[in-house]
Amino acid sequence: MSRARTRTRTQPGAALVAVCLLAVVSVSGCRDAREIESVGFVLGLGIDETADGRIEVWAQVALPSAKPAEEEKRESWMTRSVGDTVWDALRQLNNRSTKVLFRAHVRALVIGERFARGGVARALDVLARDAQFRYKSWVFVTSDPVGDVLAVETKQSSSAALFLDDLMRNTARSSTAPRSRFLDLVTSIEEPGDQPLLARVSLVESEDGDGQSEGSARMAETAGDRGQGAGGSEGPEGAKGTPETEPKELRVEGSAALCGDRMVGWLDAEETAMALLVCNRLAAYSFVMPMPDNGGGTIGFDMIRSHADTLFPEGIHTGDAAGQVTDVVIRITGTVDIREVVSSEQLMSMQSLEGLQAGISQHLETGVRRLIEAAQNRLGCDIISIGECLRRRVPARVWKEEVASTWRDQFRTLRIVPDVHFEAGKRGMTMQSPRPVD
Amino acid sequence: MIVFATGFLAAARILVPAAGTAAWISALTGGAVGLGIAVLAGYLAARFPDHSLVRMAERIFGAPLGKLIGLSFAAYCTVVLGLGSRESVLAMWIAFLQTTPPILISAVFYVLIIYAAYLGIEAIARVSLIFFSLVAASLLVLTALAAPVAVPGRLLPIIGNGLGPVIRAGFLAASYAGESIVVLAFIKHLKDKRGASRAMATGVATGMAIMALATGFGVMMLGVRGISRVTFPVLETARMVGFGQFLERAEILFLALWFSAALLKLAAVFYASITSVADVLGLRDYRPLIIPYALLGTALSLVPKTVLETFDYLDVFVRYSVWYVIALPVVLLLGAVVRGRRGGDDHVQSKDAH
Repeated sequence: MSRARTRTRTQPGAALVAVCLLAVVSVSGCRDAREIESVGFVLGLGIDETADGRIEVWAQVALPSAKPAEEEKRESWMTRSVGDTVWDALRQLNNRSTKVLFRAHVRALVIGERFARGGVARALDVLARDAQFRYKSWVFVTSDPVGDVLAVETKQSSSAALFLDDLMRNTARSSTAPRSRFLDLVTSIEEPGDQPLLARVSLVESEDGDGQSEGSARMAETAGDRGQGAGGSEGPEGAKGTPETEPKELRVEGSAALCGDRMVGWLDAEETAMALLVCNRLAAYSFVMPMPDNGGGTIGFDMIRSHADTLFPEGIHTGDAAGQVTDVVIRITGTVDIREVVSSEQLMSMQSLEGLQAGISQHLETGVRRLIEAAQNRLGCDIISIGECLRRRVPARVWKEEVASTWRDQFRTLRIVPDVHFEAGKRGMTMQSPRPVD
Repeated sequence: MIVFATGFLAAARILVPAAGTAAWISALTGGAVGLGIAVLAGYLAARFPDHSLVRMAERIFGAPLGKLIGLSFAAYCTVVLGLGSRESVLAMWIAFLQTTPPILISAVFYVLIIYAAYLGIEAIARVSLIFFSLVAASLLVLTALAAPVAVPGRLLPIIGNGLGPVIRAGFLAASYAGESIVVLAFIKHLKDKRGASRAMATGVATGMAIMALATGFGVMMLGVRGISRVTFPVLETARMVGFGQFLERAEILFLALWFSAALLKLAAVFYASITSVADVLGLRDYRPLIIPYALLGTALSLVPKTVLETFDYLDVFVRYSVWYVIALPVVLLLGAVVRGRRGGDDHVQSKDAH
């Protein structure tokens, strides 16, 4: 009797255990599990447009392997496809790959100039919808063949995407290219007063020739693959990668200016630094200039602090004057440290120091003027975020209904006056240059 | 947790188009309205210390009208349950479990809710106590990680689309705060009834502060247009943060905690629904209702076929439910004061005790 009762009591427990065991088998996900060897971790994505308007996509995929790194020469491989849209090309990549392409580790998105000029929104849609794609991926624009850029191998990294990622993380000191992430691109193309600048990546001749032979070989190989691949016959003219005999390396310098989602031109390294300075996004900047006041020689600086204010006429806060803004002053203040003096002038008097400060301010002001001229006339686009500063000051309704739609035209006619004041800070561990007695 | 656990996933999508950059202020305004609701509900709880909401309504307005009010309350809880579970399931389905049928995710949700309901409100409350600190800590971590990516200037102009739109959006936000009235179904279990107002007000204030923080950071990271475009703003925020190269793509960790919170909220709302229906039907035990009601909840959560439809339902609910959550405690309290009713030793109370 008591055994029967015990059996009855244990029955629900046994049923529960049975259900759990069944659940372990059926809902654990092991049924269609994906082993790491069958996953292709996409490190870099490249997008460009062919001459006939089709979309060309490259994926640089990491190759996870059980072999030691020394044995496994090729740590990544590249695949390419062509489609009518970005998604069309991407899905063809998936169809062609023996591995499941996993886009959660994309470090760099390299966009070709032709595609950028045609509108990057065509790529943003598919990537923004993708739950795998990371918003913190770096975005670059290149005038070189995208396939060649992604195929470059260096001594520092066998993957161009990883190399670019490291470069962008660690080269904030130079700031001659914007730290353009996918997130910044997505948010800024929607604001007419805050247009995006994307870092420019270029192929340049290697200064360390023997170290780049691997990359060169890979580029030649990639170019060869194109002819044999499924989309080989559809290769673009704009992205043709001719097998280079000279070793190449990647340089991130300058930027592509976008108006809305369309690229409108390039900024060189100095213009880019000035644009970042005006937008308060310049992390650090180094420059060399002639010694002022005919001192002879040159002097080098590290910019250690800067702050830009965009000043509008009185009454702008009410929104009444927002439509009639004609004059804007960009006031920039900051400090530079002296890093190098190659001159007989050693700046040991207050007068020479004041002259130096005036010279630095004038040098930077000239750079800002050049940028403003480029933004208003050559590019015709508010890449210096004056519109964003105005948007923050006027009521949202005024900006949306009265200013935003005409801001691009209004920006071109603005009188923008830079007002730059920099002071010299530290001069290092020595007051004067060590030099032999004359 | 009842206030923010499901709503904060997509609240910014509703508040930002209405209030613009001042959406976070709207969340705080909504919190102020919610505080008023919480205080009224607290007075009600103090006046009828041993009554559930249905019993309070019956006591004040008599059985027929009281049952009608009780049914309306159960319907409100059911809609909160249906929409809340649908929203949570969608967030999980779209962002993570893309190949899993949503009905399966929903079923897992409801199995856990059923288990929680069987254990009763004490178990739900105790587990909530543990998870609340974890969820709050996860949000603090998220805030700290989001700070370097955020652009505070995007919160300007401070008044957003203007004072009127901010107040209107505040009423939308108040509907989230107003979900706190769900606790009237089980507030009789509170040990110290005099502290009911304070307890509810603290909950509303904390919940709406979290919602304001989530909305503010969403705007700072995605901008007004960006946040109006994305499906789940808080998920996007979580996707963007990281701790150097050491901790990246950590959104799944946040999601695990947030979905636990959502689960506990939905379990509490489910419990409130079935106990209210049991009270209306005069059942001694609510447990026989659990399975049928869970089936009803699952079916209701699948009524919106698409994401768009779900957000449309959500928009309508947020727009109009605020008036219900304001009216319910006001009507009950006014009725109690005018008719001089309070919890006592009458037959209704004895029935309740029984």
